[in-house]
Amino acid sequence: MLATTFVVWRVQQAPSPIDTDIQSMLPDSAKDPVLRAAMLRAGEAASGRIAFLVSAPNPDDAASAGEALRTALDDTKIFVADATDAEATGRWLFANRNALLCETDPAQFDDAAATRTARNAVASLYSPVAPVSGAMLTADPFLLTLRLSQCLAPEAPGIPVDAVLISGRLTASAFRLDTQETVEALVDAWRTEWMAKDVTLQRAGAVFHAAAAADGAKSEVALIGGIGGLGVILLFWLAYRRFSSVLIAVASVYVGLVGGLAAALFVFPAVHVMVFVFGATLIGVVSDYAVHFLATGPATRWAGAVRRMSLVGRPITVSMITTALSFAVMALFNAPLFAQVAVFAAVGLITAWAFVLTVLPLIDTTPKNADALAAYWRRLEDLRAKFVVPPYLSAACAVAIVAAVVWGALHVTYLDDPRAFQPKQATLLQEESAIRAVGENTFAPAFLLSEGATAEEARAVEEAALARIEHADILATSRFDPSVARRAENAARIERSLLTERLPAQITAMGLDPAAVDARRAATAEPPTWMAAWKGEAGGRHYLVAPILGETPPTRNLPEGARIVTPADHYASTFRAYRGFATVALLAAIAAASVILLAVYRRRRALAILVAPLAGVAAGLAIPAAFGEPISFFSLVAALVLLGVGVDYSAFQWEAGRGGEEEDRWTAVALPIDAATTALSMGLLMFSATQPLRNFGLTIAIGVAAALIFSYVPRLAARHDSQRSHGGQKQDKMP
Amino acid sequence: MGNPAGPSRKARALSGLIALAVTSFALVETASAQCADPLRMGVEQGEAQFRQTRRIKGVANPLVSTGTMAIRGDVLTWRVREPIDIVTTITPTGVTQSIDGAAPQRMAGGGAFEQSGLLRLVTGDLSQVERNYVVARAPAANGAWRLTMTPKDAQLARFLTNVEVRGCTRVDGVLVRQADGDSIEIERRP
Repeated sequence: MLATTFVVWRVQQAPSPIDTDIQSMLPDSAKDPVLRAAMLRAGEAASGRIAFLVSAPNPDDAASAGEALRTALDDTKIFVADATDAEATGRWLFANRNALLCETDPAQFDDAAATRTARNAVASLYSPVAPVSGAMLTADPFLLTLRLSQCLAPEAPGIPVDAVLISGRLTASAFRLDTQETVEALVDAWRTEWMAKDVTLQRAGAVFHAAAAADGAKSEVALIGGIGGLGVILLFWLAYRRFSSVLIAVASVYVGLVGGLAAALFVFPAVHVMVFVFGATLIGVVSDYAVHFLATGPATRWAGAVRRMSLVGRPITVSMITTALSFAVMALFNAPLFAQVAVFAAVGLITAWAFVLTVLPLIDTTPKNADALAAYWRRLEDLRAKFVVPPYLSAACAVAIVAAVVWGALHVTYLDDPRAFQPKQATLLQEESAIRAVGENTFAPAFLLSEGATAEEARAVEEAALARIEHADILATSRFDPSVARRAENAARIERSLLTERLPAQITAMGLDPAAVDARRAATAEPPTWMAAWKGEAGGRHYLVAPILGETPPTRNLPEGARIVTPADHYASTFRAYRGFATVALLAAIAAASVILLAVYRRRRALAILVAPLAGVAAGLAIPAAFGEPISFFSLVAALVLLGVGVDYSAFQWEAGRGGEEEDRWTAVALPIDAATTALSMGLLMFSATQPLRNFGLTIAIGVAAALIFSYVPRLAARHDSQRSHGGQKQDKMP
Repeated sequence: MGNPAGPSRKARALSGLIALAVTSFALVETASAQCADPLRMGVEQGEAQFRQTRRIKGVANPLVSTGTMAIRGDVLTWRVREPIDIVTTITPTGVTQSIDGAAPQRMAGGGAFEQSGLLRLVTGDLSQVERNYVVARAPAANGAWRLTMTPKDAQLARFLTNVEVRGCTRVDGVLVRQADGDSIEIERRP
């Protein structure tokens, strides 16, 4: 109750203690504040981009359908069309026409360039496509505004005659469900009206992928979660014939999760949402504790608490300590996320363990129909006793696992790239490429990051970088709003080469009234809002983000302070590092478990307890790999869970082997219930379309089966040990 | 992001109305000696000569240019030969321009062709012009005709007052009147 109250109180605090920033997952060493802020800024801007290509059998229908869509988008109040930005940009370019150049190096605006500029301006008077007016000519006789609008815009192939492109940005997060619903409802309504007229619509934008992923997640939650939940309830009902058994198992899991979360929120100012993913893995471990304790009820006809505790106390404690240590090892890595997971999982396990051993004996008391339930349980034990694991099955499994480990090691692939985590709809990808083909290529996967001690220095760094690389596809704000030094240099070039040397001749060539011309006329304009989105300050440093619209980022050496950033690569390297951390954690946990087993049981044969968890880990990782499934960080998290549940199964088998045949029977029933609960609660994730969840589910499902099959080994070891100690003559049997 | 450096609506509208004048010539010369119905004339393939007179406020004298226009398929080539050599190529997917024989440059202002029915005019299809313009028809001498087209779109009307097209068996002249008082007159030469 205290933990629940604390969690509720903390969650209601502002700012929210639940951290959803993906960059919080990065190791401390990778948390460059500028890089972090820039990636966040770029991510927000890229995810907010949205574009539609309306195509029709004829231009009229395309125009009408496009207008209808544009109006509907405007009505949402969360869409800003590029045309709006373009007008502001035009005003800005005119106001700054005498200080901006197309050339990234002002020296390139030489006499030849100046002559060509003047000549082209005169030619525009006769061109059928040059938008020239008298007012424009008097203020801008070299038509520098037009020149800038031509050269600063990223090149686009053009739009077909029977199509209309509508592009812009969303002012609400593309990842919010209400945003997705608004946009999808709009598209559906539009399609209902226009599809009948053979008008087609192609879409591009993160909002559509996010909506598709959300739809997929809803289906999976309903299907996998539904089947898993109902399966667990049915399983408990079939095993214990009491509805209260389900509530007791749920209460045990709840206490563990709330205890862990309360501890994490107490220790850390905020807990990352990813911690809940790890938290979910506790379900499979903690529910086993409840399964074991519940099984001692009918097995002993609800004997006293001391008697029941004596059956489960030590093995559950051994399991809890080894599992908690597995997760606690994560705190040694230089990553706040892992530290949070360590606290959450370790405290959660301890809380659940304490709950099962201290509270459950008070709750799970003798029922009214105890005799009937005990008789039913004995029938289950009799049934279970008929299924003996034949030696050849164990041998076959061992061979299969070894073969899979060898084959998997030779053919293993890894998945670290978050771009491959979520399957993307083929339809959306096709639509996106159609939109890219007409020039709307603004969903930039990479960007040029330029930083400096001041905003001015950051601009200068970006200017220096652009001078070194191919920049036709880079939308850099310093080209629209240069540094003071570059602005002065540009202005000096324009003043000397055009306004001083060529203006009189230009006025004559154009036939303008010299008295009316004021080429130096100053105008004021606010910077377009899109420019503000590409600069910022973090950690006392200023930075500029310039999206790279081409598919291949430039690779030449950049000046100090500038770098090309591909966020997806950055996150991939993080997951790669985490995969390494998790591997080390797994190995450390195995070593810790060995020490604990030796310390608790004080005999080498107790190391047999590790056979089942190791078999589970090996099978869970190697068999999917042998069949082409990649190994990811999430596979290794599942392996940590397998270690915990494997030790749990084996510890009970070890205890059963030492306890004699009479007490052997209930454990043999409880373990398959454990395994089925774990498979239903976590293994079903192998059917998820999301790759990390599938990795996790596959590893759990296969590993749990392998751990169960090999869990008899410690029982045999314990019997041998017991026989040697007491000189008994019992025959070995594999239940 | 996107294409914020692209031409503003004003620039697109201005370039569009000039293009309107140009493309109105994409009408066929009928075989009949009688004047044709201008709204039923189709696309003329081939080459013709033009003379353009542009009047811009603040420019002392009218800007006169001459050249040739050619329509081949859905590609319109407008070539000014005097006083400056300018080749403008208009296709359904964009506009390029070459000055004094230099390499063709893509024109961002070519986006005007996407708007307000101008694309249709590029292909010479005047029959649908009434969707975007209010068309007033006035008779002229000897059975000739004169169409005055006023834009329906308020955005375009901010920059374009109207377009006047005259002819008999073909389009003989186009006069574009801009809202700021500037104008463009194009005459087809025999």
